Amino acid sequence: MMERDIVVIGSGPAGLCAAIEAAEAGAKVLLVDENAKPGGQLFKQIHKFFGSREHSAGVRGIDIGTLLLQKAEELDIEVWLNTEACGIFDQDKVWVVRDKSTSLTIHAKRIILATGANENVVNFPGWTLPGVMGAGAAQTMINIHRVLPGRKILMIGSGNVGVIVSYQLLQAGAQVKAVVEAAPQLGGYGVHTAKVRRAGVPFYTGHTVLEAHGTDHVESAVIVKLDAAWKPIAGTEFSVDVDTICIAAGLTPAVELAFGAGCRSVNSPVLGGLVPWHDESMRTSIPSIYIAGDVSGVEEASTAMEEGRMAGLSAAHSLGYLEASRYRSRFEAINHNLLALRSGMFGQKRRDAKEAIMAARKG
Amino acid sequence: MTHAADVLVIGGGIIGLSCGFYLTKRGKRVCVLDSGGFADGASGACDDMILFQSKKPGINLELTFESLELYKSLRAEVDDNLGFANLGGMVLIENQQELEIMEEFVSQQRSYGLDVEVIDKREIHKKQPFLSDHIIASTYSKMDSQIDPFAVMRAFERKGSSYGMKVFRRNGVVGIERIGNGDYLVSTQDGTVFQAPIVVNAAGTWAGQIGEMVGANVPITPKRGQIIITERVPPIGETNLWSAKYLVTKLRNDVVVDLNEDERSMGLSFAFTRSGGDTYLVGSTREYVGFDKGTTIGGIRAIINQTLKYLPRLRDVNFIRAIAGLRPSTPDGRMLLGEHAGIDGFFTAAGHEGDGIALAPITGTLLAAMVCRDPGDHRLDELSPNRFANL
Repeated sequence: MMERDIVVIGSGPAGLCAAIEAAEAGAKVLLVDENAKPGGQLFKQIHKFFGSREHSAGVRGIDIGTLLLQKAEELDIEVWLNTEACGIFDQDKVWVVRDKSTSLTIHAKRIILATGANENVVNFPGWTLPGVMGAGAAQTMINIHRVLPGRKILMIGSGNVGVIVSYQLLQAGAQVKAVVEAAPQLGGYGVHTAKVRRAGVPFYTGHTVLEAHGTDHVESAVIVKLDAAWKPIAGTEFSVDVDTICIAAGLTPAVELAFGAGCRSVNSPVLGGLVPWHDESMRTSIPSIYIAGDVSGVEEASTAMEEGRMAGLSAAHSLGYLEASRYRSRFEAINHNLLALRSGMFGQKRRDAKEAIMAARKG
Repeated sequence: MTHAADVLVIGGGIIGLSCGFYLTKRGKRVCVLDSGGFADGASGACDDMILFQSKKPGINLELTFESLELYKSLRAEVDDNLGFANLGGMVLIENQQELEIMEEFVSQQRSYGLDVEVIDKREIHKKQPFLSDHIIASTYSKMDSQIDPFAVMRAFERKGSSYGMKVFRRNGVVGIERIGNGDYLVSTQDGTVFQAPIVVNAAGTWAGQIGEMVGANVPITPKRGQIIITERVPPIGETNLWSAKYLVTKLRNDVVVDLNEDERSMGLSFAFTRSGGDTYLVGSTREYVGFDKGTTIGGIRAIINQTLKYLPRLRDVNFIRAIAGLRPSTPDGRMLLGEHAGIDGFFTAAGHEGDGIALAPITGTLLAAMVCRDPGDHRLDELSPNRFANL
């Protein structure tokens, strides 16, 4: 059986950083991803990132992705694309299928899961009509494939994904007819929200989509006002003429591989639901398995990168690749960055949620 | 704290819930106790078949007919289709030896009133155009049906609760003792004690451990079944499919069947059933590995390879998930249903192996009749747990 020190599953920001950190420590790393290109969602992030200077604030996600790939190449990290990880067995065997044709089992002394998250859906009559899609899917279409999903867009959800994708859809030449938000207040950062508002897009807080109409494609959507108990108020319905409905209703960690492997779960409503329990070093309840990024609780790309570095560092250290003192100082540095990202008005809530996960009883 | 009831049912899978439901309908105050969550055991890791063709002519086949009728009235009572479907089934025959055995088996089943026949290659091709050419014949019964186990369990629980049944989950039974008046005291992990004159052991794969608490021999062994689930695909053929190989090994232990290494070591045989969600459930292994519920690469691979042997066209279909469940198997392939001699008021209803979904309603109905001391049904003597009392 083929053997590697560390197999990293998922080549998004978390997985790339994990692979780089571990390879820098000297570990023999294999990075696998089911997609044809590495980078996960980074290459569709054409907006500038927030955070401090260490986190490449002010740099666009797409450029961060390019830098990370260069780094991975310099370090000669082995990367398998078009490679699906089907399961983890006996805690240290990764079963993969390459190019939909070759089935292989790899003995991995350590496994780092950086599988990311999946978009949530909102169900309403008509939600299966062509034209209803995740906001992330629409973003992939415009920024990666250069295809407009539609001309007249309704965005559901005013969080960062909802407003960033709305703005990028406007830039790509679509009309955004409205942003609908079920909560009584807007969810995204002011700077992103303001750009969309300045473009003249109406925001409806305390509203939701009631249904979508159309014969073989979305032709219109009905929007309704919600009362304090989030119940539709009869008589407040109105119709908007749209051909596309984008849903930005949050993400759910892609935990299948972790739970299939037997990692113990913890419920974290703030970070997306059930996540694998993990400690500060990103180690799960199975000592050979580490996690990083959205799979460990949905946050954002900068945090995912730091978590990836932490997982890569700790996994390499556990295999004896780093002296204790070097490990300690690097651990402290990464932890410092993570704390910085999890501070302030928005960050504190995530920090509390993360600490609650780590404090939960180890199973 | 002590809860008093007329009957305590230990086990909240499809069998325990059925017992609880039909006992409640007979006017009993019932508490159903389960160590895990909803559908945590075998009832949540199985296919959805009400399969007639796999049943040996005899009590299991007779009870399947009765169970199908009960499912009809249950669907009416809860006003829900419960995922019922009637696609029919085919058992695939690969060589002359299997054909002879299956022909004999089919004629026996027909004498029990099962509408089943052996069909030739031309008929097979009409119903299953993608089937491998090496299949020489097949059985066909239009009676084989399906029902969604999760929907059935929810229906038993909801409707039963509306009649007064109480279900307690995530609180395992840790001890059973009998007190002066003959009542049982059942204690649970969180300290709650339940008291009743009747206890029903419906703990499935774990029923042996419950039996031990009162000194009853309940010889049930976990048999692991791994199943893979495909992505959503259009119908591959008209019916659900099984291989004759497994039935032949089960029916005729005097015959040496030509098995490959996987089939022998993992008890692998082919079962291919379309679910309500437009996916296929493909199985299955039958392994004795204790209480290990894990899926294995070897098991999944073997199922995939076997599937391609029967349906080469599936090469391009993805599987999206693999599950494993522990089926409660008994030494003679029949369930235990009845009261234990010398342990008055202690009943077992367990050991259905792969027939739990098919036989759930009839098991609950018969158990309720026994608890209510209805006139005895002698057909059921062969299911009595006392057949194992002296082993």
